[in-house]
Formats: sequence, structure tokens, C-alpha cells
Amino acid sequence: MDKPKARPGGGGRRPLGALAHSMPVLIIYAVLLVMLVVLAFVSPRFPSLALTNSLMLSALPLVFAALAQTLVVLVKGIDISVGPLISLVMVVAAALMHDSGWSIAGVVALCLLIGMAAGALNGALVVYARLQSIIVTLATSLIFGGLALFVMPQPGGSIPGSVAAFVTGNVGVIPNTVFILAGCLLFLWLPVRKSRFGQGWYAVGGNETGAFYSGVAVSRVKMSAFIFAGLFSALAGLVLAAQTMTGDPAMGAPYTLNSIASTVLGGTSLAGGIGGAIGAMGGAFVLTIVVDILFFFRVSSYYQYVFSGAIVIIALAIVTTTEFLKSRRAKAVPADDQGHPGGVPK
Amino acid sequence: MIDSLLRVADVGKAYVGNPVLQHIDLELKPGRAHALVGENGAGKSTLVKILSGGIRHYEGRLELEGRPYRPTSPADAQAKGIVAVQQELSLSPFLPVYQNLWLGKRLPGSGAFVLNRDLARRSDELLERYGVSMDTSRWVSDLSLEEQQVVEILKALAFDPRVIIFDEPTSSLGAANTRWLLDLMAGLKARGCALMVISHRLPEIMELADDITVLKDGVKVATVERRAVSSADVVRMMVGRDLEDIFPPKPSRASLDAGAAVLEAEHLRADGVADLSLRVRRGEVVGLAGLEGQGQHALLLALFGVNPPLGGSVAIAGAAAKLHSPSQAIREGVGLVPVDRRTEGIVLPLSISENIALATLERRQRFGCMDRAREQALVDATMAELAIHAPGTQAAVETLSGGNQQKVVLGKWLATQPKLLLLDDPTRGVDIGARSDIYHQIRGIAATGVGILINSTDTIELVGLCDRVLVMFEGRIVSELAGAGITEEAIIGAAVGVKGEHPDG
Repeated sequence: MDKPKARPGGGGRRPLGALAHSMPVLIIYAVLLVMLVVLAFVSPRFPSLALTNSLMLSALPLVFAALAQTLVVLVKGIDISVGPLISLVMVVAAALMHDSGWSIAGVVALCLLIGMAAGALNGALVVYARLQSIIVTLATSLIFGGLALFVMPQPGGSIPGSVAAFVTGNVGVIPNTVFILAGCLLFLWLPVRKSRFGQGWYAVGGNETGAFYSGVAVSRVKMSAFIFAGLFSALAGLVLAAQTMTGDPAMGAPYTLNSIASTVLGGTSLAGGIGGAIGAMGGAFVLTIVVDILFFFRVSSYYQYVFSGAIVIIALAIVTTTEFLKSRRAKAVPADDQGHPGGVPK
Repeated sequence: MIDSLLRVADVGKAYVGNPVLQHIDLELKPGRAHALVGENGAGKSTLVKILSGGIRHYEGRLELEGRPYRPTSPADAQAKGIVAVQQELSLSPFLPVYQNLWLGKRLPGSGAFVLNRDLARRSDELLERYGVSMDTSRWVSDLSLEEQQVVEILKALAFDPRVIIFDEPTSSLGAANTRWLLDLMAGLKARGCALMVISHRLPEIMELADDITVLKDGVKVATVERRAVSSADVVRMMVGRDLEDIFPPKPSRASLDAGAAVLEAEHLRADGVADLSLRVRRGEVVGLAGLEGQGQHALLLALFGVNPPLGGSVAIAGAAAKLHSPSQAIREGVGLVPVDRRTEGIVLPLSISENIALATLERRQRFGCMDRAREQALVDATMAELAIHAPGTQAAVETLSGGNQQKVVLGKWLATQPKLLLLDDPTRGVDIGARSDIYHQIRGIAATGVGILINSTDTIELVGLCDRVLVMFEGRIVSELAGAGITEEAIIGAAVGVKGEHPDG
């Protein structure tokens, strides 16, 4: 056999390496840092355990909702049913923990199962019935919302103090919520992200036909994203119930749009295939803290929504501008003089 | 006689009653390369998809080493040692190269997890083995098209397949990497792999192939041994009839030279276009040729104001023209029939008359309302002139055949009375009968004094239709062919940068 003379390829290792595609994530964490500094100046409670604890508590349900949304968006979908599913899980938890024969662990397990079943329903309708995710989840959001009202027509039920303390308490100076979040990320998200399913989300989101031709089990990959999304929505519902110590069939609703906003803020592309948990977390924290800051500035709570919307637009403008400038720069690089754009034989 | 590794027996495929492949028989043998040639739409890619598990429902039988072979998915075919390098890249843009190379493959010892370090090490070994140097940690979306194609090829080789199908593997490779691939293929043959190669670059086929099968309109014309034929023989089999039967007669060069220039571009620069000058005269049909993505498409977009020119000057019919947007280009007298008519050329659910009227609505307004009578007159005239076959002017365009849809797009631009008409691959996906119609109409439009600039991926079309052909490479015009100088060999030779070298070698 002839030794191949040409060596296609080229381009050295880039100095930025892994950071090259993390620009949106870096931006959102920069914004978060600025907000924390502002908060430090305006909050009389800074620095204190109470402040971090209340911040973490108010952010945690949205963080979980954002993780759920990010999963679905990664595989080119969108999940409108996140909010109503949170409501459903919340009222089931509050109703069953209130007074029934159920053990607490049993209720938690049931709630997580409800979430996964709901995600599986969404996924099956998208993957096997080939319906659009926005239509499917719009329909199932009505179903989940209706079921929540069926379980609990108005706010009620209760959560045992032990459960609430588990979520709201702290170990030394570290709030329990930090452990809960870290535990879920390390033992739930990370293993799946590093498995074939996790790789599949990015492969399918980036090029579904190509992934199919590469031998990726596209249907199973998409199902896994929806089921995990349901699981994270259920976690959001459980945390919300423990925090408020009650059940409210309307409380989950705002999480649908806020989870989409967090996902987008966190650098996840609505076109699929780009993004992840770290960014989604950052987005959720920014959206939560902005409300706190505005509270200290005594801005009416109605205006807080206006600010949240403005932040989403500004952050997106920054991200798209930097991406645009980057692509302009990339295009400006001329082909080398031998006429091989990039693939330089050595 | 060598036994066949993969045998295709009486295979056919039809989409909603429309046959795209009929009664195909062929054999792939170990250590031999089998070339599949034919015009666009001959059914080559359909056959590739059947062999590689992408299409599950078809007629006929496949046999792998004498046993029935019926792949249920690409993964199934890959597991049995048959892999295709697809024409549309199967890479995932937002994963690093080392993950892409092993995507969908189960590696021993990895279990359920994706072990990046392991993948990177295996990737480096794979690259080393095939003589490629590349940073495999880069995202595929950061690679050039040429690098992506190299990755696509390596990805197929990572299976250690016995049968490898290459569908236009060199379409975006430069000369050096094409050489690398041809050597690589020779090495695979020596190792006993069976290759199937699809390429419209005839010189590559003539160098590499041992057997050649010619497809035409979904039917096998013949399978011949490479040693027994010349490239001229292959072309004749591909086209199947003399060019004069398909194409309208060309006007004399002298009569064209007498016409005034409708387009004069000097030192034009734009996105994908690097400093080129060209001229198109009244009544002239000028072709743009070259390998895909060498600026032909970009030039048309620049002249139509989609990617406005960044430098140089453009004059339309002798007057300096501003081309900042398509609407401005239309006002200057430029029309563009885009490459993808289904997304850019027509509005599928709208009627024929609405589509034809779309580009000229403001010309037929009276007190802000549409003048329906004038619109109807325009539509009737256009339909008659272009011989659009349809149940009526109110029929939705989506109910028409591809050829008639293309005529509607032509009609829409004729209504703008352009001085310069740009055509971007106007016969892609159009059957041969309607194609001939369209060629005659293009010539008819030119005869009314319009200058026509046509980009085509079909070399035979350029030879048969054009008065002049400009061959592009990397955004520049590298060769200009006219009259009897327009031959397939000349076009292909100039496109791949070979001058005066006969492809028969």
C-alpha cells in the first residue's frame, strides 16, 4: 500500500480550548457576579447565612425547572407543560403528606414517578406520534393543570415540618439547598450527561438525520430527554411544596415562561444541540436575584416582570452580537495560497 | 472468478407510485471498486440509502456473502460491516471531532458511558493510521467543509468495514486531499474491502474504478469493465441520447457579439466572490461552472443584492447599478430564479396566478387595490408562453410537477421584465422531459434580449445550453470557454485545476 502522501486537516490547538464555546455561559455568570455585588451593597443582611439561604431557596425551584426545560430544548423541543406539572406534583405532595397512610418517602417516590410518567407521555407523543413538542406540551399542560385542580381545587394541604426543615435548614454555614442541588447535579445529571444518552442529546439536537445515519438510537435519546425533564420538574414541585409547606394548583404556572427564559439566558440554543446545565443554573439565579435587587430598590412588583423581560432581551443581544462578530472574523480569514480552506496537507 | 461480497438483485424503489429505481442488479467484489455513475436524479443516492440501511422499504433482494441481507437501520448495516460515507454529512456540529468519530458505536470497555479520554486516544490512533493531522477536540461546526468531509470519511473507516460506499466523497475536497482519498481507497482495495464510489468527477472514476455501472432515470444502462471503455463512452451512456435532441440550437457568436452588454461587473468582490470581472450580452446565455461552493452561487446572490457587493462596480444595461437588496436589484432589472424553488422560489399553497403575480404586485395597483383584470391577462400570457401544464390558473402550485413548478418561477421573473436573469441550478430535481422544455424557454427568453447567467452543477447542461462558460475556483473565474471550446473535459479539467490534461490519461 502506498503511504498516504497528503495529510488532510490542519489548524493547531486553539488557545481557548474548551472555553471557545462557553461565551454565553461566561456572560451570564459575569452578569450574576455583578448582581451579587449590587445585592451586597443594597442588602442590609449581607453577608449572612439568612441571605444565602433565602436566595438559594427562592432560586432552587426555578433552577430545577430550567434544567427540565434545557433538556427538552437541547433535543430541539420546547416544554410548555413544566409549570402545570410543577403544580400537579406540588398538590399531590401536599395532599398525601397532609394526612394519608403514605410515608414521606413513598410520597416523594410517587411524585418523582408522576414527573417521569408525565415526561414519558410528552416524549411519546413527540417521538412516536410525531407531533410538534409545542403542541403536545400545550395540550398536556392543560391536562396536568386540570389534574392539579382536581386533586386540590384551592390552596390547601400541608407539608410536615420535618420535610420543610430538610429543605430550608442548614449545615454550619451551608444551606441544605446547596447540598440538594449539588447532589442532584452530581448523582442525577452528570452520570446521564456522560452516558450515551447525554451525548445523544447533543448529537440529535445538532443533526438528527446525521445522528440516525451514525447509528444513534434517536427515539430512545429523545425519550430520555423528556423523561428526565419530567423528573426535574417533579423535583421543582417537591422543593416548592417543602418551601411553602402547602399545595397550590396555580403556583407552578409562572415557571413555564421563567424556565424558558432561564434556558435561553444560560446559552442554550432554541435550535437545539447547544447548551447545558451550568448555563441554565446561571440563568435561573440571575432571574431570581434581579427580583430581590428590585425589591431592595422598592420597585413595584409589577415592574419586576418588565425588568425580567428586559434582561432576557439584553442578554440575548449580547450573546448574538458576540457570535455575529466571531463569525464575521472567521469569515474574514482567507483561504491559504494553495487554495485549501483549512485542510492543509503537510 | 471472485465471489461477490454484496449482491444487489432486482432492486427497485418507488415514491408514491413514482419509480426512482427499477430492476437494479450489480455486485460488489472484495478488492475491487465499483463506480456508480449517472446524471443527477438517476437514483444513485437512493441505492446508497438502501444498501446502508437508510431506506427500509424497497423491492428486490440484497445478499451479503451469499446470505440474505436486509438492513433495518444504518446501525444494523454498520454492524454487518457495510458503511456509507453519505453525501449529506452525518456529523453532529456541536460535538468535538473525537466524539463524532465514534458516535453511535459501542466500544469495548466503555459500558454505558462516553469516555472522552478513551475516545480522544482512539481518534488519534485512527488519524495516525490514515495519515491525517487534526485537533480532534474542535467542534465540527468550527471545521471547514473540507475538514468536515475528511472527518466524515474517517468516521466510516472507524467501523473497519468490509463494504464502503462513498457518495460524492470528493465534492468539497481540494486537489491535495482528493489525492489523499484516492490513495486511501487504493489501500482499502488492497486490504480486500469492496468499494462503491459515486462521483461526477469522471477522471477520478477512470483512475479508481474496476467496474462501472451507469444509471439513467432509475434504470441500469449497463455494467462495464473500466479497462474496456473510455470516458467518452461513459458520458455517452450517461446521457443516452445526442445533445442536439435535448437542447435548443445556439445563435451564432457574431450575432451575440453585436448585442450590447446587459451586465458589466468590474473587480467585483462580495461574500464568497473574490475580485472578478465578467460581462453578459443581450441574448447571451452564460454558464457558471466549477466544483460545488467555489463562488458560483455566491456570485448570483451578490448580483441579486442578497449579499451586496463589497467592492468593484456593476453596471446593468450600461448604467451603474446599486445592489443593496433584492428589491433594489429587481428595480435595476435583475431577476433570480433561486436554487431551492420550494423554499425560495414559490409559495406552495398559493395558486399559479398568485405566484406569477407576486414579484410585480405594485405595478398593477389602482388606487391601492389590485387590478385583477390586468393580473389575469399577465397570468394567461405567461402560462401560454411557458406552456405550463395545469388544471387552471387557480390550481395550487404544490399540486404541479417539479418541472411545471420551475416554469411558474420562471414566469414570475419574466413578469418583472428583467434585463438580466440569474438562474441558480434551474433543473435540479426536474425530469428530462420538462428539462428540455425549460432549456428551450431559457433560450426563448434570451432571444427577447435578456442576458442570462446560469449556475449549473450539471456539466452536460452547461455544454448543451450555454454560449459561454465561466469556470470558477475559490471565488475567481479561472477559465472562460466559448463555442466549440465548451466540452465536458474542458469544464471538469478547469474546475479541478487541470489544464489541457485529457481525462483518459
